[in-house]
Formats: sequence, structure tokens, C-alpha cells
Amino acid sequence: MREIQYHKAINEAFIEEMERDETVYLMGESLRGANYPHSEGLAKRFGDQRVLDTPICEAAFCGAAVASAMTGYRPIVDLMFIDFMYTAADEILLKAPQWRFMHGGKVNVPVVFMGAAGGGMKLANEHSQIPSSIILHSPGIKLAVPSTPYDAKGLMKTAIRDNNPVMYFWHKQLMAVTGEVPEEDYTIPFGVADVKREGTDVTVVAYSYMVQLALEVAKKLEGEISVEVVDPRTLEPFDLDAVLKSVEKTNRLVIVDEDTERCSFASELAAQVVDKGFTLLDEPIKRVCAGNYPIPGGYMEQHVLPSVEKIEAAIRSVAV
Amino acid sequence: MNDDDFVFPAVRGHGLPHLISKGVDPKYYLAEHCGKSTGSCGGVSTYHNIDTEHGFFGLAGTLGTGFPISVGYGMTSKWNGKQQVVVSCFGDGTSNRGTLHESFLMAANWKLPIVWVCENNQLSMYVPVKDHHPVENIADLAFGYGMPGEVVDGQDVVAVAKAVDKAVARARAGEGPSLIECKTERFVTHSIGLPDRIDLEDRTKDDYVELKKRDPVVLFQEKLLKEGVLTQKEMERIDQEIAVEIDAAEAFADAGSPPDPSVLDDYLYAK
Amino acid sequence: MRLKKEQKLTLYRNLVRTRAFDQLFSRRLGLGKLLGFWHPAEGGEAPGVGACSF
Repeated sequence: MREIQYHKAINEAFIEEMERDETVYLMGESLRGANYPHSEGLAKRFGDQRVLDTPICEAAFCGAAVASAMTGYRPIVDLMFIDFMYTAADEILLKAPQWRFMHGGKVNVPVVFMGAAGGGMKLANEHSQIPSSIILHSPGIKLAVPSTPYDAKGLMKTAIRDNNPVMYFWHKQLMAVTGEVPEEDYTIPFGVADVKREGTDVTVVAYSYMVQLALEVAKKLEGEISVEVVDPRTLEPFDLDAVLKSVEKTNRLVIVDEDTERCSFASELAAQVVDKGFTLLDEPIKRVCAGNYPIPGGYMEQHVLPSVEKIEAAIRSVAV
Repeated sequence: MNDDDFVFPAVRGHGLPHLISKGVDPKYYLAEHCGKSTGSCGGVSTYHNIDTEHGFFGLAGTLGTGFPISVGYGMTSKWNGKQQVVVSCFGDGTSNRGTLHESFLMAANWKLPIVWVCENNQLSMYVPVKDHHPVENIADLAFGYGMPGEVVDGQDVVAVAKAVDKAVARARAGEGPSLIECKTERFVTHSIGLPDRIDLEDRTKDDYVELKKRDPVVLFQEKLLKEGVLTQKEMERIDQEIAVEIDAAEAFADAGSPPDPSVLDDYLYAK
Repeated sequence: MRLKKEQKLTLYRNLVRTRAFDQLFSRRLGLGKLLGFWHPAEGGEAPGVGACSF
């Protein structure tokens, strides 16, 4: 099968869905000139009305997208860096997820918000977050977190076709990663985890770029500790059964989450596994997350973000 | 305006003036506010309302949300070929939000068919407008965005109707947004149960006497009686009809039941 | 825009209906027969009525 880059996979998802459905359009800052390569060529191909450059006014264009989605369109809103979503918190967290619910299910809000997430590029606090916990704390919006080109394309296509708001984090460190992507049309259902590597000793649940780090560690420990890497691919809906099934086999769980540890997805999953699968566990659940600090810039970043060393140490601590 | 033209209501009366005037039966909103499943939002919201057939796609409790939402309605109106327009209403207090500026910018930039209507009742809760807005007219904000900005007497319902009609025609012709500021009043407290206060001081009996001289209902009534458009008899007939409607609306709301808890799941996500 | 007689009466009726319903909501809240809060429109009905009646 052909291999393409992660950003190209997203670009293909846009092209295919925009050709399939003329109500789909893209909106954001400097998209037409493709400030990220996933919007390359779209403005020329689809014209002025379907690839829109907005002023720097996130609250206005995110709210506009919510209303546009209610009234017949399927906007994809590219926030550039996902950290910028805080400037439109009301629109993304209180309006998009809650509008259908608060109005008795009488309107749907099929909008996709997306942005570059994650650290590792020394871009500091407002350009390095992966704020999953904030999204998960707002019932009514789904959250896709692809870790491979295949998942990036399939999940984006599903996100665009979904009749609900979807937040889509793509990771900067994955932008140029290559992987197999079929040429024919496919989608990936939300809420179905993918076991990225099978193993028998320790289950590692990781998402987005952390999957790549977990796989690197699993490979390093090959022959010593057999690590199973489970990638949920979407955090809402979340495939808890896949995690429990894996833990049933390994009896050990490490959760790798690049978001800040306190009140994180990792913390939530740990609680759910204790609740539903306490007797499956032989060792305490370990979390490897970003430390409870702002994400620093420069050389300090590495001390806060998860790393292969921290993941390896966590795996070793439970693989007794 | 046509039935399918979009309206985002202002907060006072939670949009009742707008709903009623655009032809929505207010009994559904009463039932909603009573927490009944027969309400406009199925009884889950208390204060939200929706009637998509009359151009109301929802209400929000965070003031200033209506600006970006109206931009979205404006994009739909401009793109879908149905010649729709948007009337987006807000108070002087809500005009403080940054979303106003972002949305005025987008709407003006993209020439969206939006009529922004500021219902300036001169009080943002207890804060008089002179203490939260630096110039006399909020309508002046329009000029920075290249829109027409007009001030009208908000107690003169005909003056408002005429100004909005002109702006709607302009929007429908593709000439872009405009801003109309209606200088109006608030006769009672900001929120039932709270004191009726300006800054530190409760409003006095004399204040109310002064205010009532600008009662939009009385002013229009007197005008119509004088013009011979309305007679005393017709007035009484209208009052009686409304009394009957109110009784029926209350009976409708009171007869309803709270929604079944299963709707929490039904309403969260679309299939 | 020149208003016809029926249009004036429509405006009048909408104003009076709005006033009556708004006062009903206020009254019911005071009686504990309305949930949440109520921000009355009384005195400020004309902008909404004028903007949305036609």
C-alpha cells in the first residue's frame, strides 16, 4: 500500500469530503495560503466561498460556525494552534456542545473544530498544549486524537460526516510522519480503539503522539517486557471495553497522556478502570502525563512533558 | 421580514417581544419556563427558546453570544440563495462584549445581511450607560466598521419598525449590515426579586412617574386613538382576547409534566 | 415605509400582548409558578416589537 504523510492524509480527507458534500467548507486564519500544509491547494480547488480566511477573531468565527452548522452547512474550523481555542471558550465549550441539548434536540450542530496540539517544539505555553481534559469536561462534543496518517484521514472523514460537534487534535510532531493509507474511501468509526501493538505483560493506553512514544518504548523492551499499546483514537466516545479487555490479559496498566496530569483524561481513565476492573489489576495504575506546570519554552520543556524515559520507568515499575 | 428570516432576540423578556411579534405562540415558551416537556425546548432549559420555522434557532445565557451566532446566520443567508436576512438584537450592557467588535468586523467585511438592533434601556443591571460606555450613542460604533448607524426613539414602535424595515431592505439588497440604536427604558428591576437600583440608589416613586411618561404602550395607544385607527371599543376587545389567550397559555403550561429523564441522553447527541 | 391601518393595529396588538405576557411571567415567578429567573421587558418592548412585527 502507498505511504503518505499525516498532513497529506488530512488534506485528502478535506478534498474527498468537500467534493462529496458541497455544504462542507473550511474557515480559519491564513488557510488559503496554507499556513499548515493540510490546507495546501484547497483554495484554488474549491474557490472563495469554501475556503475562508477570517480576521483574527476566534470567538466570532467559532460562534458563526456553530450557527452555520445549525442552518445547513458543515463547517471545519481550523484554529491553527489548538491553544487558541481559549479565546473562543464560550463558543467551543458552552455553545457547540450544549446547543442541541439545551434546545430539546431540535437542531444539530455538525461542526468540526481542529488545531495543532502538543509540545516538543519549544513553542512554550500558548502553542504546546493538548487540552483534552477541557474538551472532555464539556459533554456534547466528541474528541478525535489520531496518531497515524491512516487514523488521521479516517477520523477526519468521520468527524465531517458526524451530525455533532467534533474536536480534532492533530499533533505537530506527527505532521511529517508517514504511514500506509489506502487510496479508496474509508472512515473510522468513533469509539473503537485500535491495538497498535499486541503484548502480554503491561497495557499502555496512549493517544496522539504519545502512541508513537509508547511504541518506541515497547520496541526497546522487546524480549524483556511484552507491552501492549492500546490507542483509543477518540476520547469521546471512549472504548473502555478495549482497555478492560487488554488489562484482563496483562493485569497492569500505564496511561500516557500529554495533557497536564491534574484532572486529566489519564486520571479519569484510571478512575474508570478501578471502578469497572479493580479485580483485574495486580499493580497500581501509573499515569505518565505533563507535570502540573505551564508548558515552558526552551530547554525546560523536556522536564514537564512525558518522554520515552518516563514511560519506560513507569512500565518497569509495574512489570514486576 | 419573512418567516424564515433569522432573529436573535435580546435578553429583556428573554426574547418574548421578538417571539410574539414574529408569530410564535408564547404558550410554548411559558411551558418551557415552567419546566414542562410541552415547552419549546422540551422542558430542559428553563429560559432557552427555539422555533426554527420562524427563524429562531435558539437563545443563549451568556450575553454577547448572539453576535457570533448572528454572523453564522448571516453567512447562511448570503450563501443559500434564499435571500434571507438576520435581525440581531442586544442591549446596551451586551454591547460591552468583545464579540460585538469581532462580529461587526466579520459582518461588515463580508457584507453579511444583518441588521444589528441595540435596545438601549440605559441600564446594565444597576450600571447606567454613561458609566459603561464612553460616548452618548452606541450607534456611533457603526462608523468604525463602515456601516450606517442610526439612533431612533425606542419608545416609538413605529419609528423602530420603519428604521428596521429600511435596514432589512438594504441587507436583502446585498448592501451589508447596519446598526440601529433604540433609546428605550426599563420600568422595573433587572431581574425579578432583585432591587431596582441605579448605581447605589433604589429608584424612587418620582422616578417611576417620570418613566411612565415614556410608556410605549400608552404612547402608541394615545396616538392611535387620536388618529382614529383604534377605538375604545376595539381596545377593550383586544384586551379581552389577550386575557383569554393568557388563560389558555397558563392552562397549557400547567397541564404539562416535567420531561422524562431519558431525554437527557436523547438530546445530548444527534444520531 | 408607510404603515397601513392593519399594520398599526398589528404593532399595537403585539405591544399589548408582549406587555401582558411579560407581566404574566413576572407574576408567576413571584408566585413560585415559573422556574429560574425572569428579566422583564416592561417599558422596553417597542424595539423588539418594532423590529420583528413585519
